[in-house]
Amino acid sequence: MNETACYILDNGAYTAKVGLSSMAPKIVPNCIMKAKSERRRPFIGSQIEECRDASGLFYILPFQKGFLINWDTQKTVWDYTFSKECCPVNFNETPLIVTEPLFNFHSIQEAMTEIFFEEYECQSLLRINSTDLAEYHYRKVHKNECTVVVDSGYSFTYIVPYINGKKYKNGIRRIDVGGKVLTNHLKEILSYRQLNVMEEGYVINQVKEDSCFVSQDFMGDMEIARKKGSENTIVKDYVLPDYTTLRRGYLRDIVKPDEDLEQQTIRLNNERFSIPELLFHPSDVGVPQMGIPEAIIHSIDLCPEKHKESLLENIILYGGNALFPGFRDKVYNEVRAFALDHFDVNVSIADNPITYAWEGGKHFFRDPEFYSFCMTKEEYEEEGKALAFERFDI
Amino acid sequence: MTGDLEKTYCFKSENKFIVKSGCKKRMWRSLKQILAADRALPWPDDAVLYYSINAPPTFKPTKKYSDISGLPAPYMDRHSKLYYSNAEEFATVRNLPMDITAGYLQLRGASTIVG
Repeated sequence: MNETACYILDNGAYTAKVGLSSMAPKIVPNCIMKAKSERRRPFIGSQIEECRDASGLFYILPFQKGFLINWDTQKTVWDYTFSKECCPVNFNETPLIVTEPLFNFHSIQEAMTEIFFEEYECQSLLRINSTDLAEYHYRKVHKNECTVVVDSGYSFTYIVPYINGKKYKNGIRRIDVGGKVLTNHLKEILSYRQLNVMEEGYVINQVKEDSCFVSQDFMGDMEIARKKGSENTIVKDYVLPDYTTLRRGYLRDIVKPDEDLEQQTIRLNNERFSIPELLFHPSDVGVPQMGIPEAIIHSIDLCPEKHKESLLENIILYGGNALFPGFRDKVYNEVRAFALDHFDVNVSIADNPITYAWEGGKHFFRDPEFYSFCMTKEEYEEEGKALAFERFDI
Repeated sequence: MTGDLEKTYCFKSENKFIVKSGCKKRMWRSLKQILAADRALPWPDDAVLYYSINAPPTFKPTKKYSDISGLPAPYMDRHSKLYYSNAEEFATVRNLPMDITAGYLQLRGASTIVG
């Protein structure tokens, strides 16, 4: 087989990263949205860009708690994604790499295999964890033995240690905090403290993306946030979009009392850094779990002694939450503080945290053994799902 | 797929995702049902599964923040169990109706009756 490109679908719970390996990936929201302004028309995936008024946007997500549950919705989004409108593909000629969450449930895996072979008539298919692709990417670049992959996504944060390219299952840990928890918490505290924004998940998600950062000195920043007037360098106003003159909100210095501004604003003070802090202290919202740095150390401690040094030297962060400014530094500082003094600690962050796994898929396709990991349609018709479970290590 | 192309596979069983029930509307199986079904599968004793990869509780104590302003809160109102950081906020806390205090507690996941 000598295909020149393969189709990679990194099917995340919030956005799917899709595209042929010969082109740049597209980021498609993995959901159907309904707007208050245009009740009749559902917006599938990237169609939301055509929506004039995204206030009161309602999401229909195929994923629930990080697992694919609603196949009707997913099928609609996939149909759109594979169509001419978005990112066309012919699965008869192109192999497909599709990602799944770690420890995906059996019934979901079965359905995945079935839908791609029977509905989309794929010629060859590879189902894989997105962390595997990320680890492959990292290993290609750094030529190292062991890696700790931290995938901080929409539903969960996964910490996965890899030893010589194989994931060490006993060391895998999941923290039940992801981007969704952060957005929802921001939405709730803003609604209690200032303005009711409970219906505005889409807008508040943008507020989070534009204004939150990870504090390096949490208590110090809290002291600054407590101050009044010009001494407080943290407090900012976020101008909310009104969808007539302004399509996306922005962060600005606080509005003076005598200033006349058309749009509504929200004042953000300690919210700016206390929201991403949840990734480091999930117990603040009643999730009785460790934060990311503590869980990294915990996970490495579960691995065999001789690999610890190599694991600590190769920690890679990716996923949407890695976009918060200061995320890497905070993880590094805390892991450094936890780890024994004579070990070196090295934490790196992906250049583009969102498409990191997708890019890994691109490298993986060029691997000479790529096809030995795939399953072909003939094999499926002959042996069925049992072979799929054997071959794909999910 | 067109009708004449339809093949039947011997390894295929019935659709596992649709709840069989009297009502006409198709219902997708919920996450809970999938979880229960997955748990019921015959797993070897040392298998690593969804349940076993939960991160354990933290060793660090939970920090306390004022429910009103988000600032570090050294005090707790014994009556409503809300945190507050200064006297001004205490006055506000005392004037809040029951449903709002319950909402605040829910917000930080502290709405359990115990404690």
